[in-house]
Amino acid sequence: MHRFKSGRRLQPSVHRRQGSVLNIPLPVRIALAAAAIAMMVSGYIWGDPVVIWQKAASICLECIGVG
Amino acid sequence: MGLPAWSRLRIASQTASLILGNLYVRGWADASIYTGRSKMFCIPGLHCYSCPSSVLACPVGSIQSIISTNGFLGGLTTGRSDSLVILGVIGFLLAIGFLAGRIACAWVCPFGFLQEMLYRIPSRKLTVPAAWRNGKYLVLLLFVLVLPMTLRMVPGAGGDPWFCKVICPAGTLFAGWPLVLIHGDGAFQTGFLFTWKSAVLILILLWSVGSKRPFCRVLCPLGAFWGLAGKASVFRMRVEDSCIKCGKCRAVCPVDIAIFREEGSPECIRCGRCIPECPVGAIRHTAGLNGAGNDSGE
Repeated sequence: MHRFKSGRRLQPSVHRRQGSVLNIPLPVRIALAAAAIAMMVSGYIWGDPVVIWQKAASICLECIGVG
Repeated sequence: MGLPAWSRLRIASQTASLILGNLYVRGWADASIYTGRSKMFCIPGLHCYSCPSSVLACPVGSIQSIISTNGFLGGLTTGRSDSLVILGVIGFLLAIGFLAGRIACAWVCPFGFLQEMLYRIPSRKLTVPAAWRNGKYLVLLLFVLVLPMTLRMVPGAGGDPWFCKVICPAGTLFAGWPLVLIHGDGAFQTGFLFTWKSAVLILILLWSVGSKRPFCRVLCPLGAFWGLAGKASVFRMRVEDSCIKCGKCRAVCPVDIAIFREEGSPECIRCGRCIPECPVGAIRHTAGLNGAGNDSGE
């Protein structure tokens, strides 16, 4: 338990937490992460990542601020 | 006074990410950008793919360039490969978000790193009003998703990457300014847009000296995306009931949150800086294995 310099002790506080995490069970959270990984892999397999490559491999004028 | 070990580790990680994402140093010498195949893959952070040394793609730029193509939605429903690749980028971002929320903001993102360094400059420090944090959701929705998909400046042509075009300070800093400087004034016809983006960048850099990571908290669409996904993340911060609410966690937090009041906040970047600072050891990382599903704060 924490003590201040004065020697006063602080009792553990039960506090209300704003912006709490969603009350989602761990297995569901793991499943969500796994689904996202599957989505990423399928996107790269069935999609055409060359689209990203073509954009990224040429100077993006909009990014520079002249396009 | 030396930095805590945790901070040194994070600075090392941020520096390593900056180096690994910018291995094409020749780009600075011959005023070119990297064109290798590694640019099919995104960096987990805001880093412009037009930066001369960048070897990876920017996820925000990639999303905009894919969804702004003509017939994107139709292509998605009919399974066209140039539309389906959006699943790869969104899946990549969701995977990070569902695993550890905004962790990449703390450990990888070069622009976040820069803001943290600027905040170390001694000056009068200012807090950012909590309501301003909602700005990033508007930026994500409007400038990254809706406008690129719907607004056509030239009928029949593709849309524009509006976030890159009018906001992204990382693009101006890592690509705009260097390329214009290297190539000289004549190569690019810089005009109002360049001036506007330069002004936005200067404003954000100055703001970063006075406030903690203002761009990440108020404007960054990646932060918005990962913050929302992070509400359901596996890896998170947890505050025990032994917390005495002394506020030391907020004082050292790079995004200025009091974790005991906002456990599970979409703002938390999982840097872990508050853990060694807590005088009663009430803050810890958790993968949710202990007390999973009981995080309602009751």
